[in-house]
Amino acid sequence: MIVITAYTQGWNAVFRNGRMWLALYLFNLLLALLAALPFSGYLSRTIGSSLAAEGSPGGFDYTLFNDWLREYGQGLAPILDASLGFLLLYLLLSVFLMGGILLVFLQFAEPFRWGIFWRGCPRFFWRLLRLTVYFLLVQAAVLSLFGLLFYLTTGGFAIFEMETEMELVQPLYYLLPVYLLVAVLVFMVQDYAKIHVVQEDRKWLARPLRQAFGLVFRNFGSFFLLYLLNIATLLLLFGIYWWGSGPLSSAGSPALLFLWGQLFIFGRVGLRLLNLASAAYLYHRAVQHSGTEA
Amino acid sequence: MPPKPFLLFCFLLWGCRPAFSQLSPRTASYDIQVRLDTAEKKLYGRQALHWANPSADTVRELQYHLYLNAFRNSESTFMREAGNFGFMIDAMRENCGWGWTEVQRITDGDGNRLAMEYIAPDDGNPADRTVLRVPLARPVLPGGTIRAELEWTSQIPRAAARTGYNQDYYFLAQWFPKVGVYEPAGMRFAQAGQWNCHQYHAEGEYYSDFGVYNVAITLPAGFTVGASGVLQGVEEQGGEKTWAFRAEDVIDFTWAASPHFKEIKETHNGVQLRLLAYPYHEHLAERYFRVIKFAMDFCGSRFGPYPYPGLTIVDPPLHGMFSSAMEYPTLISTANLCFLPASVRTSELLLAHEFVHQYFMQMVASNEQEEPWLDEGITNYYEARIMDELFGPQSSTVDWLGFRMGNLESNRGEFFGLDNPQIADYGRFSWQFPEGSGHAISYSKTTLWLRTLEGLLGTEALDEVMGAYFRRWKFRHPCGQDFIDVVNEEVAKKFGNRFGENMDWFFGQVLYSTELCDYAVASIANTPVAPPAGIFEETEDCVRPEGKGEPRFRASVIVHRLEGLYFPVEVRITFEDGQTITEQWDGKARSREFVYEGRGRAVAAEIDPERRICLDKNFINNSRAVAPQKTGVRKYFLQFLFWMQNAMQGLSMLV
Repeated sequence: MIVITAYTQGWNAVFRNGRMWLALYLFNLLLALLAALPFSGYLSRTIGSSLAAEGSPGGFDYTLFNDWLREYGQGLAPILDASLGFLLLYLLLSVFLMGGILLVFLQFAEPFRWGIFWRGCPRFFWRLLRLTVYFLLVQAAVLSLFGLLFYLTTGGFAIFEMETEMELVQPLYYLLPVYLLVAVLVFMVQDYAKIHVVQEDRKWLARPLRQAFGLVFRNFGSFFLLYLLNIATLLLLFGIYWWGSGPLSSAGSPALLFLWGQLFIFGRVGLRLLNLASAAYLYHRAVQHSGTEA
Repeated sequence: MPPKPFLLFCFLLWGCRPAFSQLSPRTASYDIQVRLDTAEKKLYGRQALHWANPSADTVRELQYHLYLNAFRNSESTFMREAGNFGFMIDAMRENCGWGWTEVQRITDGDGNRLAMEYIAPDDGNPADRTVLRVPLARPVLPGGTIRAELEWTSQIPRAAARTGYNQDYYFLAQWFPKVGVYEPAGMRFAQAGQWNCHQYHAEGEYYSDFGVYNVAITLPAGFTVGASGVLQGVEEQGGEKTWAFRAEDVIDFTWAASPHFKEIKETHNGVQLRLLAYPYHEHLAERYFRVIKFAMDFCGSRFGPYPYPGLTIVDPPLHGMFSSAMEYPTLISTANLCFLPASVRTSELLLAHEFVHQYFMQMVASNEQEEPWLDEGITNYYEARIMDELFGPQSSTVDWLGFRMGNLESNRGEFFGLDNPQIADYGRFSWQFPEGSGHAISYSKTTLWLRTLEGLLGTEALDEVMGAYFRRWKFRHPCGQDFIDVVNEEVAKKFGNRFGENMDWFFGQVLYSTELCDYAVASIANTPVAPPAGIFEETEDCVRPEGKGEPRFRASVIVHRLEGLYFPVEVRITFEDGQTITEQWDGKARSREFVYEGRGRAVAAEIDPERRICLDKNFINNSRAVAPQKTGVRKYFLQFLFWMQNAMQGLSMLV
């Protein structure tokens, strides 16, 4: 089945380009470290000579958190502001790296070469940035629309008019799946538009967008199944992380918990690549099959 | 509305039962027949008050609370103060769901029709009709009694604060004309005999005399009723049912009705527990009963067994949330949203709280309007004890997805989280706390200083003190000074003058000042001490420092009191060889230095290591170590790093 093939080919591509995987993880770690280091310094200055945090239990310590926030929380604001800046920077970096990632994956069986990767990064940056902004707007519109629908179906959160609190939840039973479906659809179109931009090296985005829409709708079944498979893999990763982090947290070993967390992040980066690699494969097959210019 | 023969029979039958010891003075007892008109949302009531003059005064008037008039219009004192009930009040305004009570007729036992006038003793608000003054045709002599009969009609407010209706759910609290408390001179703060009958305010509800309530409620047959007291019987007639209840030795009577209630019963320690919940909440019964049983055992072992034959728990539907989390004699309400995970234990917390109110509010009937801390604070403290004991001190309120919060912790959070925790002392009525600070001060601050008192006296000793307070004042009306007097007596009995002549120094600080508490380790210094050298005995004998032996150090630990409050605290100093010394410090001085020579270097110091002084606003500065402490910093840094990585990775999915 084409979906399974794309999925396995995706994994092959991810492992074949393991150096890229590792590099992306290191970018993530490095930037997060840059964002977090001021926090470390601030923690050292505020609680570094106190015993309060030493004996705190493995999990969340509300008293410590509360006292710290109240007494020293003012110093946290600039750190959080800087962190937001780093998040924005990472978003831009992700856009920058996306061109390289896709260019690498569109080489298919080729061995990984840094040259290809670095060539793709700046080449597609502005186009992919524009594309990202467009799709962020679309996603925001979709979210707002469904938020509005939820608001309307609950009578404007009129809890005094509701028979039970399930009336708050029940609209979610049908709105949430529909929303997720639409959101996934938008993400799918976005992914295939990106692939199209890189594959065809188009300067303008209108045609790739149109082509991506067409491609997704023509091959909706297989494309959507692949997405579900990738999402299921991501959920499995979350489950495994959650399953392991509880005992590690209780064991009170920050180092072990951190290592477990890093494996999780590494896995998340890998699954992001898997999504792109498998989509690139499917895109390639779909274009070949239709025999049309993509 | 004449009493129905069946109900008369019930009441007569009750009168023939074996004598049950009278627990309270039964100063104000009521026989009430009320009919609920579900179409008009009205109550038609007829009641007889049997009031006994508890004083040596000749009482020339009665004063009644007409609570429902608080919802008559936007200008009542309640509505002017009701900012905290925002959305409920908004809903009432929007739906024109105002409520009121009109007394059509009041007569005394001689058949004299009595005059009535509205008064506003607290603020003189002419638009407030929540207190009715009734001059008597024949005064009530010292120790005498009066029977006052009333006919009244009430419009039930729609989803108002604590009381009202919504859809076909009815919660009737503060629903009937209730007589105030006549305080003889010397009782609580009374200089002379006086009625204590405050207007209905948005904050603070209870102050009533004990009595026996015989209440017959008539309403459509499909409804199930839960009420204070014990169900005597149900009679059906012409599509309506009359539910007869009797509650003895209680200060109030409340009831709830809905055609959707499912009734689930259990028995614990001989007490019938009756849960009334909507069908989609039936599965929560086990959780509810678990905490109620635990609280019943907890309070029973400290204050005495729950003395009433039953307890009704009302679990309101979402549209009845206006009535959630309330305490009434032998009837309490909780709140739950069934999609919340079981480890978010708000229901358990509320039930523990409202159950403890059966002891502090219902049996020890202090005046919540004048001294809210005396019932809410003590109740909140024991709620925290019950929750932390039942579910663990750092996860008793929430233990979900890695976020954990204990009950005591949440109280610290609430009180110290105030913009200005020094905003008010306790010397004010419940409606006089500024900027909505009443809850944090009456509930949470009281919990913190009771925990601090527990830290000083020990848990067992404090429970004994509280048990003594309960036993002395049950079925009476204490004030704050009565509580302090009991504490002083009991502490003196148990500890002599270990804490001073009495505990007034403690209450003077926590009750009558707005000061805060913060102890801090200011510094730890280890200075090498040169061995003795020079002329000591004979001028010819010069003592020279001996060769390089083991260096001696002068270890100095300086501790500070940064805020106004002081309590005796322990200071634990740890030396480099792992040995510790625990010093007792009276905590009074602004600064205190502990000095040690020849013990080696001090490596750490901690004030109040057992965290007995819960009023200390910052536990972080309570300790200091010479060497940087890395474990905690590393742990939280790594967590922050991990969150950042996840946030970044999540963001990258948008690309």
